[in-house]
Amino acid sequence: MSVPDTLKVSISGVRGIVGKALTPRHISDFAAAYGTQMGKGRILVGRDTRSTGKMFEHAVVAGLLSVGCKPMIVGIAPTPTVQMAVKEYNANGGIVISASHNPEEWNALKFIGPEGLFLSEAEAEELLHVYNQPERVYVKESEYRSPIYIDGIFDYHKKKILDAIDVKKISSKRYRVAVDCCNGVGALYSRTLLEAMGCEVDTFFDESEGRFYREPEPIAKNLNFICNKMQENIYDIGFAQDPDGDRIVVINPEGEPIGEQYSLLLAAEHLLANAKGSSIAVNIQTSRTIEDIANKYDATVIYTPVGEINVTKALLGNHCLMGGEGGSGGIIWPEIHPCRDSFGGMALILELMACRSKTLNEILDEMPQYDHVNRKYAVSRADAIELIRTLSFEFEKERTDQSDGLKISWEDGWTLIRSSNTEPVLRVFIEGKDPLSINRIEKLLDLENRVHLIGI
Amino acid sequence: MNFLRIGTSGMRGIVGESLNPRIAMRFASALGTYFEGGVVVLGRDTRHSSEMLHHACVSSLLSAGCNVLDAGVLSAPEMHFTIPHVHAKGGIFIGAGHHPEGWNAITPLDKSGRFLNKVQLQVLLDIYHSHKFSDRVWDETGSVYSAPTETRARYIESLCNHLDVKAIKDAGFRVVVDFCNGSGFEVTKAFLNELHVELLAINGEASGNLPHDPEPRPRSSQQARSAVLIGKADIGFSFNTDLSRAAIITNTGETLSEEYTFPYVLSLAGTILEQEKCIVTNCCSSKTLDRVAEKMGLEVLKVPVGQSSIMETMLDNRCVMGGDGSGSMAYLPHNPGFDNLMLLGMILQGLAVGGKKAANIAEELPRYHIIKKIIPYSKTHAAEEILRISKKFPEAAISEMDGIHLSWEDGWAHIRLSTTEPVVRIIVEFSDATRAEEIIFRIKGFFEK
Repeated sequence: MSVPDTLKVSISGVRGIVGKALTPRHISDFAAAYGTQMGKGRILVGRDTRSTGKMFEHAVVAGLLSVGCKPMIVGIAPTPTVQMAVKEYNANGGIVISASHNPEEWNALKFIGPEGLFLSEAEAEELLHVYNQPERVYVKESEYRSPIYIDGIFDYHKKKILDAIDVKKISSKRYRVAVDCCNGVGALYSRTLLEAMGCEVDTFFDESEGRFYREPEPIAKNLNFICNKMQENIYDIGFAQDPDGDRIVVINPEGEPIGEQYSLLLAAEHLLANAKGSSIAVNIQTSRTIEDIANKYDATVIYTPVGEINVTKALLGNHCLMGGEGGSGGIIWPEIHPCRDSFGGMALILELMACRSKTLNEILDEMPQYDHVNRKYAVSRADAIELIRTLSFEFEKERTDQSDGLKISWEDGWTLIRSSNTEPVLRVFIEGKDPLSINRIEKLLDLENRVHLIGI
Repeated sequence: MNFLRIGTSGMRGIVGESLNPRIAMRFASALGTYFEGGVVVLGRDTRHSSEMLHHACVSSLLSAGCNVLDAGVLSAPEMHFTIPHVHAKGGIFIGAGHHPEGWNAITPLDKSGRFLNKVQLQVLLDIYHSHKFSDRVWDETGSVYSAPTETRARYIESLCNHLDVKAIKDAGFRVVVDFCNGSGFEVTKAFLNELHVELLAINGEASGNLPHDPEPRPRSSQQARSAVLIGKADIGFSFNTDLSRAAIITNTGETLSEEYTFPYVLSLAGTILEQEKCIVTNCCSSKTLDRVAEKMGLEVLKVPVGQSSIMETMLDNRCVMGGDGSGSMAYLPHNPGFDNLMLLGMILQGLAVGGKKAANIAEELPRYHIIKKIIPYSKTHAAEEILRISKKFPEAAISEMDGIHLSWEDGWAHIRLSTTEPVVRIIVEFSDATRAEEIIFRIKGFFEK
C-alpha cells in the first residue's frame, strides 16, 4: 500500500499508531478543537490502561485548558463510566483516550457530547470542521481555569448497576465467575462489581500497567488463556472484556467462547421477557436469533447502521427497552445509561441465570442456534466501496439493506459486508442455519477470489 | 499584536495569541529531541497558563522518550539548582518572571542548570525549524516522576554554606518581601527560618493573581514600602514572580531603582569577593556599578543583555559574580543562574557584619540621574534602524554591542530592541538631570519622527 496507514482523522475522531503518525501535537490540537466546539465549560477526561494514555492525557488537558475549558481528570476509567459521568458532573462533554479493541501500539480519542452520548455523525463532522480551521481561538491568560482530579469515578456507575438489579437473588446463587480483563479498565473495576453481587471471582489479565498480554479484541481466538483455565468446569460462567470496558463476551462453563452475538441475545432474552411488547434497537450486524427472541415476547426489532451512536439514537428515538451491537458484544441498557457497557452487561446475564434458576447452558439450549463466520480481508476503503457496489448490483434481486455496507438476506441465512471504520479491512459476517448454508453463501459471494483480483 | 520571541531566554509570548499549545508543543518536542530522551526536570511558576504549558511540555517530552522529573511550582533559582543536583539532561522552566499579566514563557535549561548559550540554542532551533521531532512508539515513551522533595533543603543548605549564618542569626533581622503572588514564598520562608530572620510577607499567595506590575521597580514597591515602615523592618524587597529579579526598599522607606540592586549587593560583598578580579554585567548598567567596583578594585566586564551572555562570560573569565540593571544577581559557586535568595542572603550578611543600616548603604552609593523609557517599536528592520540614531549624535562615542551605546564625558545612553517584547528600551544616565532630559528628548525625537 502506498499510503501509510498509521493515522486516521475522520468523523470517528482521531486514531493512529503512536509515534509513527499520532503524536501529542495532534491530540492536543484535536482536544482544543473539541473544547471550542463544546463551548468551554467542564470536560471529563478519562483513559484506558494503554501505556501512552497518560502522555495523551497531558496533551488533552493542555488543549482543553488553552480554549478555556475546565478539564475534570478521572484517570483510568471505563468508557461507559465516563459517558454516564458527563451528566452527573454537569459537564459539557468528555474525552476518552482509548483505541478500544485495537492493539497496544494504537491510541485514539473518543468524543462524548453533553448528553453523555458519543458525537453523532453531524456533530463529529462539525468537530472535524473546527479541527481543520487553520487558526484556533485560544483564551487569554485571565480566562484560564484549573483542571481538577476526580477519584472513584466508577462508584457512581457501580451504584447505578447495583440499584437496577436484584442483588439479593444473584448473591443467593454464589456464582463462581471467571473474568478476562484484557489488562484493561476491567482489571480495576470488574472484581469489585461482581463481588458486590456475591460472586466468587477469579480474574485473569488483571494487571493494569499499560501492557496487553493478549490480543485486545475479545474474540474466540484471543481467549485461549481464560478458556483453558475454565476447563476444569468449576465456574458457572466466564466473561471477557476489551481494554476500555464497553464490549463483553461470554464463555460457557466448559471453557468455550459462545461468540460475540450471544452477549446481546442473553441480555435481550432477560429484559424482553420481563416487559412484553417493548422494542429493541440493534445494528444490522446482529444475529437473526434476536428476531426469534423478539417474536417470543411480542417485541419489535429496529435495525440501525453499525456504530454505538446509531443504535443509541434509534433506541432513544423509539423509547426502546434496550439495544446493542450483536457482532461486537455490545449491550446497551438505558436504565443504566444509553451506551455499551460490559459491566451492566455482566450484571444482566447473571441476573438472567439467577431469575430463571438455570445454568448458562440450559438457557442457551433453549435459544434458536445459527452458525456464524467472521472474515476479514485487507482491502483499502476505496476498493472496498467499489467491491460492495459491484456486489449490490449482482445481488439486487435478493433482500438487501444498504444502510451500512451491504446486507443480503436469504431464507437460510444472511451476510453483512462492510468496510471497517477503523482499519483498512473489509469485514464480512455470515450467519446461516447450519454450516452448509454458510458454505453456500460463501461460495456465492466468492470474496476470496474478488479480493485477490483487486490485488492484481 | 501577535508577538513571539525565541532566544536564549526560551520562547516568550502572549498567552492565547502568539503563545499557544500548538507552538509550545512544537518547541517542547524540539527540546525533547534535543535532550535525546534523557531525564528532564520540569518546573513552573504560578501564572494561570503555566499549568497548560506544563501539560503541553510533559506530553511532548514523554513522546520524545524523555523521563520527566516534575518539580511542580517552584522558583527559577531552585530550577537552576535542581537540574545538576538530580543529574538531569536538562530542564524546562515555565513562567513569566517579570513580564506583565498575559505573558508566559518556556525557558530551556542545560544539564548544568544554565540558560542555553548561543551554540546550544542554534542546535535546538535547527531541530525546531526542521519539524523533525523524535516521536517514540508506544513502548518507548517516557514516564513522569516527582522530583525528590529534599532538593529544596539541599538548595537552602547551599545558600547557607556560602553565608555567615551566625552573623545573620545574631543580627535578628526583620525583612519585608513582596512576592507578587508568584512561586517564591515557601522557599523564602524556609530559608529565612534557617537564618532566624523574621519575614513579613506580602502577596505571598501562590495564586498567579498579580497584585501589581511584577517587574521590580520603585513604582511596584509601594506596598512593600508601607510594610517596611509600618513593620519597622530592617530592609524590604520586591521580587518578581520567579525570584530572578529584585528591588530594594531601605529601612527608611526609600524605594531604590532596580538599577541599584546589583551595585548595592556588590558594595556589601567585600569579604565574599576578596580573591576576585572581576565581575560581569551588561552593557547598559549604571555607572554606579562601575564606581562601586572601582572602589573595590574589581574590573567590570560588559556583555550584551541577557542572563545567558552574563553567565557565559562569568564562566569564560572565572568570575563568581554577575548581575544586571534589572535587579538580578548570580553567584556561581552556589547556583548557575540569577538568584534572589543568594542576593538577599548576601545583603543581610553585609548589613550584619558591617553593622550599618540599609539606608546608610544606599546613601553611600554614588548616584547619577537615570531615565528609562520604553517605546513601542516593531518595524521589520528595527534592529538596523536603531543603529542610524548615531548620526544624530556625532559628538558621542559609539559602540554597537547589543543595540547602540552612546557615551559622553558626563554620561551615556543605550538604545536596544527588547528580546522579549516589541519595544525599544532606552536608558540614559548622566551626572546632571537636565543633560539626561535633553538626551532622552533627542532620542525620542528620532523614534517619533
